[in-house]
Amino acid sequence: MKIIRLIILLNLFIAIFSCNKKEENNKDVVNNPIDTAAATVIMKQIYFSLPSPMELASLVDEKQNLFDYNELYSLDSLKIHSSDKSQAIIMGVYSADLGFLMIMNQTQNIKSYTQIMMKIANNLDIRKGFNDTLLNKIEKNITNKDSLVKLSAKALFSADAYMKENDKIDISTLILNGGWIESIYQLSQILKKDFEDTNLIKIIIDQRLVIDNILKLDSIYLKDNFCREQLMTLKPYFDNMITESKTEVYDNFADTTLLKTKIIYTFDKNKILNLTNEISKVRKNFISLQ
Amino acid sequence: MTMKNLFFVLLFFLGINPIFSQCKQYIESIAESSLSPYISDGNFYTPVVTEGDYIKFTRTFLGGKHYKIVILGMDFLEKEITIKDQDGIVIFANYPSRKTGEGLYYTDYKGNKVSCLGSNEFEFVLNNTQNLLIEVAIEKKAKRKKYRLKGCLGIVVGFKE
Repeated sequence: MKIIRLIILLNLFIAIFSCNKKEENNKDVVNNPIDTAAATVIMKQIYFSLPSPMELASLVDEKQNLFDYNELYSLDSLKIHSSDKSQAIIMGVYSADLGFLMIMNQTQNIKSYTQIMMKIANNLDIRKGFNDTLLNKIEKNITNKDSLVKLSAKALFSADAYMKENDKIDISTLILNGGWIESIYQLSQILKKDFEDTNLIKIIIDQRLVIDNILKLDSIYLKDNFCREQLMTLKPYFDNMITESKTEVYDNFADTTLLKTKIIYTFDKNKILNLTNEISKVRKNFISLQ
Repeated sequence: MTMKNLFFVLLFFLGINPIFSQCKQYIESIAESSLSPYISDGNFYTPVVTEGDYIKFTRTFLGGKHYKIVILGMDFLEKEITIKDQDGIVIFANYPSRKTGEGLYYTDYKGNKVSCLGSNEFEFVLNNTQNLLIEVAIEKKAKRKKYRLKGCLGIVVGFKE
């Protein structure tokens, strides 16, 4: 058994001290951005991420009077979603709805939306985070908005960690897609009731940056093109929304002169209306997927 | 075969993955407290890296919101963290400028001026929504030429309501 122990120790040693072997295949060698004098380093991974539904909802927390519970995705509709892909997207949709309910203080429906997410999490075998403990804590803190937001964020974080640890990153990516489209749908529904709200218009237009990141995520992690194709129909509406100009600035730290992009927003009501209508169409396609 | 020996045999056949799995679990367990009082955005990124690696992380940050980015990971991995805005301007670096030898500062949520030097966290508010690029380079010790240390990182983002 001493030999076996020795082999195991060797195994552990290899885990921490990997050989100084030249990296191969799919690793781009790039100049170290930090110290150009240093040796080149290996570009190992590139990640893309986006704001959570809760973050987006919190931008309009003062708009409670314009928020309409009936615009949320119905709890009765889960039964039409049979595939894992569809259920993952709908989990994202419900997670966004739950975020809006919490931010808008609609406490009476929080428990039922949490329960339906638990049901989908169970179906998708990603139950970590969405379990009876979470539900009990939510029930105990139902009047405490801050606690509810934290509990929900923690549950989503645990579920995401579990998915990424267990080769379910495609499910995680589908949830992100569903969550984002539902979030911008809810924001656009609020905007339709107050088209003079330039701040909310800017929030929606700014999602042009997010859509680029989601498209990159989808191209990396999703074999199926459904989400990508849907988002590609939205992209031109976002691209059509702003103009940009460039001015010169000085970067003290890098000691180099860089061109800084100044964004100029154009509030053309027709364009914004077209965008919100297209968001509704794409959201309908997402929730119609079986 | 005793239970103890059986454990070692199982550990051998399971390979090295459990080590990184534990590392990721550890990062998951400390993520919430490291972000406090900010709320996690729910996304979990824990790349396994080796000395000499360089990772990029791009995320959209909403204008007007308060954020905290924390880079977690094993202490033996020396992490050079750079955060750039959409124009490539460095807004955070946890090491001194190569040219001036000076470090950057930022103002935290309490209004305190905080040095970026040696720090693994950054609190900020942006005027406009933009994509920030977070770059983490794992330094390789010049003394060691024949082997490189390996471990996992955690990139977590929190926001304030």
